[in-house]
This record gives sequence, structure tokens and C-alpha cells, in this order.
Amino acid sequence: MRLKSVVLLFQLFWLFVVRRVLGRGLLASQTARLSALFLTLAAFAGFNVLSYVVMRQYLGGTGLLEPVLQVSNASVGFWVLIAYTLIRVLFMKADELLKLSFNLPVTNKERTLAFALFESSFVLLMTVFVFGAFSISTVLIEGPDYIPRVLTSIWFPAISTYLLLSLGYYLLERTLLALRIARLRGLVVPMVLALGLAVVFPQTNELSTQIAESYVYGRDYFAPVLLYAKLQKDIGLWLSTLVLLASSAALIPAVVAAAPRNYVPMRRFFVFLPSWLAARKFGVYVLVLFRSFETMVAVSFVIVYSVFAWIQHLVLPPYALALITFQGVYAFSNSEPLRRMVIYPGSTIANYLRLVGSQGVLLVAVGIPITAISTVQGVSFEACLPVAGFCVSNILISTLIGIAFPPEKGNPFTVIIGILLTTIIVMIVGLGLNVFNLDPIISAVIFAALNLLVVFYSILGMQRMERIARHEMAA
Amino acid sequence: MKWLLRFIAGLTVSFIATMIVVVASLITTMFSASEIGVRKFGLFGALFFEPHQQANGATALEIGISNGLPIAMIFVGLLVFYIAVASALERLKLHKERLLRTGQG
Repeated sequence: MRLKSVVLLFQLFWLFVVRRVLGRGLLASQTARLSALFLTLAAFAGFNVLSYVVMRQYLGGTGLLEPVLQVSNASVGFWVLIAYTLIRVLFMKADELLKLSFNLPVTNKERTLAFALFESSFVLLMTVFVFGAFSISTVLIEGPDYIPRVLTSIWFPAISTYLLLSLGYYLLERTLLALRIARLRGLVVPMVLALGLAVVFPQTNELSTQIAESYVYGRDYFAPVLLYAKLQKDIGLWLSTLVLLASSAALIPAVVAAAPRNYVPMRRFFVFLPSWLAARKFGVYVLVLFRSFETMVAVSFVIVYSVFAWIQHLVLPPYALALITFQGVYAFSNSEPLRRMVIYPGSTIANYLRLVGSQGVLLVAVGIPITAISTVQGVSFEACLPVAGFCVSNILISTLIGIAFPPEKGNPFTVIIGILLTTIIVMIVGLGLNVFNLDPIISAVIFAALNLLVVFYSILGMQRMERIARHEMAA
Repeated sequence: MKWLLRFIAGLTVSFIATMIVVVASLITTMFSASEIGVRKFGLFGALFFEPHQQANGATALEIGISNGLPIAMIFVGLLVFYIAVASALERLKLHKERLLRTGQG
């Protein structure tokens, strides 16, 4: 294995993201790109300032930062697992990106490792976004003496957890290869990760409670996940760093050795519904949505979560349903061939209604049993209604993202930018409206109006893309 | 139709920009308010922010709008600015096209 090829491929993947992802859809214009960059940086800065103000207000000078840091340390594993799951599910679709490297003189192992490096840089960016504000505010409030504590409580465990997760993933892939079911990894891996989240979540909660209790009773608490912080506190930063280096030195070669040598393409579709549905246009849209890989992953996540909530007696409204509504991001591009292969594709408004309607069918089909489970658990039906409103609004917004930032087939990264920008705007609007302390009915009317605006822009965007497509065909 | 579309786009852009201004001023007001029981105002008196002590000793934050007029003025100002810039850009584009067509560019 040559390290140079790994680094070169890693650079190629990043170049691909910069050129192909940051220059499409709305981001094609320089002004839009600059505004998006500015908005992201401003949001991160605002997030930092907000976190600093809130922490100074509540924790500054109380001595409570110590146990808070310990609780964060206990939850690092869970957050890294969430980031890893998101990135892993996203990267499952990156076959086309990998194909870029098929005519280059690299081995499968080098390709896998370059991809792992690429993926870890994404996880790092996400972790910086999640823990950056907390780390910076802690150091600003308590002074530079806290830097070693923040390092050993948050960043060292994050690195080790990530390496362990990578090792676990490659071992799982090897097992699937040995069992000859690697083609199904698109389904098996997300299920395993969802199960992992379901197992880790109660443990993290339990650990946090124990840390808080020990602090209240003045006991010293230790758990394996707090190892780096404990070593730093008892002996010094140098020993923690040494342990991190030693464990990484053991884990990285293990990851390299576990990375599989052969590449198996993934199964993309699952056939569930009968084909007679295709007799009607709406039926075709429903089929396209139900058989897609993303739908399968999202539905399996929701099912795993509901079963887990049932077993753990979690009494929560079915917010997990929101997961399946993110399908809207792919709805437009997945059904694009349907509109391209006929001479008259129908009116834009009808096509938009079919797009949104098919997602509504999926939401109802999955929502009924999941809501039934929630109500049996003791959640009142009224508490489930806001979830329905949230899901419908999410379908409309994610369909708009799919139109404004069309995801490329086999290139999942195009979605990230759209989702990131939309989340920032939705959060700012939500926070801004919250300041007004409006009557719930007026708030509902405003949100309904905003959703109508989203529908309007979606139809406008679809019309524009159809016009461009017609001109292309004519030329 | 073109003007209607421009107006709707202007409404959207200025609404989002106003929300960004409101949230940013809220954060800066929070920064300046540290004394308990003192009401601080931000964004030309539009927003107020007041930390106060509750009976059980915890600190509660009260945030709200004391005067909606500055926010409405910011919204209208941004809307007018957007429409003016968009129309000016449109005219410049048309002018450029005309120059190119007549071969004077």
C-alpha cells in the first residue's frame, strides 16, 4: 500500500466536492456562494456567542463547569456515533464518487483508506460544529487553564471513539463479505448503527445521572469513558496524550488491516409494491419513492427507534417520523426521468402535487402504526398533531431543497449544503418569531403562510428547470 | 407578472434579513445585559431583555418586543432596497444587451 496514492485520492475527493458540489443549483453564482459562506460563518459565530452568554449567565463562577464537562465527556461517544451514522448513511450513496477513481492506478485498499480519510474530515467538521462552541466558551469563561481539560474531556475521547467506530464498521463489512451479503450492506449497516444508537442512548443518560449524583454527594466518580480526563487530572496532560497516541497507534494499523480488499457494488432498489400501481401517473411516483434506497433506510431507522421506545417505555410523541420526511430532498431528482421520457410531462402544478402527494402516502403508511404505538404507550392524540404539522412542513421544505439544490445521482454531498443553509434559515426564522411572543393562532397562520411561500417557490423552480430542459432539447 | 414575482422575492428576502437582524441584536443585547432586574433595550428600542431572580433562586430570562415600529421600518426599508437594486440590475442587463446588439459594446 502506498501512502502517496491515498493522499492524492483524498485530495481528488475534496477537489470533487469543492468543484461539483459548491458550484451547482443556487450556488452556481459567485454572489450566492459568498452569501452562503458568510451566512454559515455568521451562524457559527452567533452560536458561539449565544453559548458563551448562556454559559456565563448560568455556570460562570459557580464551579459547576467541572461536572458539566464530565457529563459532556460521557456524551461524546453518543454524539460522535450520531455524526458517524449520518456520514455513513450519506456515504453509502457515494458509489459514483468512488467510480471516479476506478481508472486510476490504485488498489481497492488504497481507495477504501482514502475514502476513510475523506469521511473522517467530514466527521471532524461536524464535531467542530457540535462541540466547538462549548469548548470555546468553556475556555473563555474559565481561562486557558481549562484547555487541557477540554482537550482530554472532549477531543481525545472523540478521536478514539471515531477510530473504534471505523474499525467496527470495517469488521462488519468483512463479516458481510464473508457471508456473501455485502450487496445488502446499504440496509444492514444503517440498521446496526441505529441499534447502536438505541443501546448507547440509555447508557449515556444513566452515566450522566451517576456523574451528577456523585457531584452532589461529593464522591469521585470514574467510568472507562472518563479515562483521558482522569489521567490528566491525576498525573498530567502528557500521560493522556501518550495514551491517546498509543491507542491511535494500535487502532490505525488495525483499521488499515480490516479495510476490505474487494469492492462489491450495493443493491439500490427494493421491490415492495405491486407494479399495477404504475397504470396511473401518481402510482408511478409512489413506486419511485417506496422502492428507493433512502426510503428503506429511513423507514428501518423509524422502526428500530419505535421498537426501542416500546421496550424502554419512552413516552414521547412520534418525532422520529420526521426522518422519513427528509426523503423530499431526493423526490424531485429521483423522479426526473419520469418527466423527461414523455413528450408532454403534464402541468408543473400537477407534477408538484404528485411529488408531495406520494410523500404524503408514505408518511400516512408509516405514521399510522407508529402513532398507534405512541398512543398505546400513553401519549395523547393531541400531542401527536404538532408532529403531523411538522412532518408536512418538512416534506414541503425538503422538496424545495431538492429543487433548489438538485442532488446528483451517486453524489450525496450536493444535499449537505442545501440542508445546512435551510436549517440555518429555518432556525433563525424560528428564533426570530419566538422573540415576538405571538399568539399560537397567529404563529400558526404565519407558519402556514411561510409554507405556502415554500410551495410557490418549489413550483416556480420546477417551471424554470422544465423550461431549461426544453431549451436544451431544442438546441 | 414580473413585478409581482420581484415583489414576492423581495418580501421573502427582506423577511429573512429582518429575522437575521432581530436575532443578531437579541444576542448583542444579551451580551450587554448582565445585571439582574435591569431591563436592556436593543435595536432602537424594539427588543427588550431582562434577567430576573425567581423565588427559588434561579435566574429567568424575559425576552420580548417593546416596540414593533423599528422592526417594521427595517422590513420596509430592506424591501424597498431589494426592489430598487433588482430593478436597477435588470435595467443594466437590458442596457448591456442593447449595446451588444447594436455593436457599440
